Amino acid sequence: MIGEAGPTWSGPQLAGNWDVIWYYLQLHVQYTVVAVALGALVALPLGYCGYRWRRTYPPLLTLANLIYAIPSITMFVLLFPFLGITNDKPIVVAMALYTLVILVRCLVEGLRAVPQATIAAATAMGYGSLRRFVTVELPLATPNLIAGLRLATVSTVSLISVGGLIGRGALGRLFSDGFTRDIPVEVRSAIAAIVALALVADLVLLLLGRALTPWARARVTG
Amino acid sequence: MSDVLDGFGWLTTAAHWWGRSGILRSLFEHLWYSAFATGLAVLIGLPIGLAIGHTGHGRFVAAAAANGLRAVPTVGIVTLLFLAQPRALYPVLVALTVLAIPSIVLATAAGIETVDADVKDAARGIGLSRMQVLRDVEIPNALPLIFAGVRSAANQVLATATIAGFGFGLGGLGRFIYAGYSGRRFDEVYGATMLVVGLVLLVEITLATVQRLVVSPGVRESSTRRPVPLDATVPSTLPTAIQLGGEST
Repeated sequence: MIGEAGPTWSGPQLAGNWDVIWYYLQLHVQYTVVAVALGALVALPLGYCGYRWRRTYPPLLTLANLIYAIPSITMFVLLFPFLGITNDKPIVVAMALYTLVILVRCLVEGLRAVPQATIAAATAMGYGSLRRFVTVELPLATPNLIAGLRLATVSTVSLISVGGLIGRGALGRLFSDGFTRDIPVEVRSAIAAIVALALVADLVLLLLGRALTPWARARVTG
Repeated sequence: MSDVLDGFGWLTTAAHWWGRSGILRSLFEHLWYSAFATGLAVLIGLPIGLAIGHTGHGRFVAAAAANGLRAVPTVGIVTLLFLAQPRALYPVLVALTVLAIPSIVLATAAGIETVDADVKDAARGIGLSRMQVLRDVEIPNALPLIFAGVRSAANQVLATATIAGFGFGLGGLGRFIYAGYSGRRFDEVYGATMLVVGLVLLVEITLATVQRLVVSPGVRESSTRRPVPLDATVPSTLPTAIQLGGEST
């Protein structure tokens, strides 16, 4: 079931298979980073649009919701003609598309929470709308943005494994392999690895968010 | 793109609708798996969310636990449980319920927590007990957010319920997607996808309508500093007992 590249689980036990888990874990990290980064890259202009022109927000949100509603296998099939059938690109791109529903919403909500007075002050200081967006509004939306990235990352880490259904998808491959060869411990290890990775990634982003928003802590303690 | 349009052809072929693995039966299976999982998740998640939001205790633990649950891969859970007991249905139901709980708990807790402190204070001040405050003030005010949680959970569950038909042979609309994928019949894949997306839309509209009927108009206006697409235009026909939270501006 496992694709051409990559090591295969041997035997019905965990011992001796750590390198297999490690291999797919690395792959999993790689896919997650690329998918979330790609999603964020697309969400940024969309979020800007939804924030700047209020009327575009509800349709944008509906669109993101509909994309999310497309089952993963269909998404892969839709992407195959563009990205090829023999690699994992369709899975990564599909995950990036699925993150939009979280990222666009969090970005717009975050931007809307920026106090009007702050925006007015920046305008009065002579900031143009784009410069104000990049240097004032976006940084102030950081807490929501980080919250969105955390959610998107955690769900991407666990969602990538649906690629296992078509014999791909990093740690998800261990699901399908464990399923067809009836090795529960392989499936269990992959679940544990995915949950652990998600929690670590979440923690990393949490700390990053703290580092980026020193003022938030100052308000709590002071 | 013509492949996608072929999906309509598959959908409109009468023979595909009937029989033991026809569209009608699969649609029904898909709906009941999703309704069961979402309903159970509400039964479990709502009290937890209310308790957290009302007492303010356990917020951190709940957020961490919800995140942990979110990280659990649905396919993995189904695979594991299925290996333990092949052909059983409960793996899918358990996995979908696990999927739905975090959104509901977090949204409910957030909804209760963000009710204006002055409003709660006033309610206590006029002599309401803590339970009355929860029942008559906090819950009605938190309803928009609670509904948002339930809607996103239902959305997620409906979209994910397709895995029941992927390799596990448990039916639902996923069976066509998997069978179509394996047999390279892409019209079947796209046709079934249209059904899934249509179902998501239908449930979304239904829940939005229920929300409009249940949520007090006063609460709706105050809590929607953001314009809510479907809800804002039609006036509610069911005034609830207490309409709090009308902000001065």
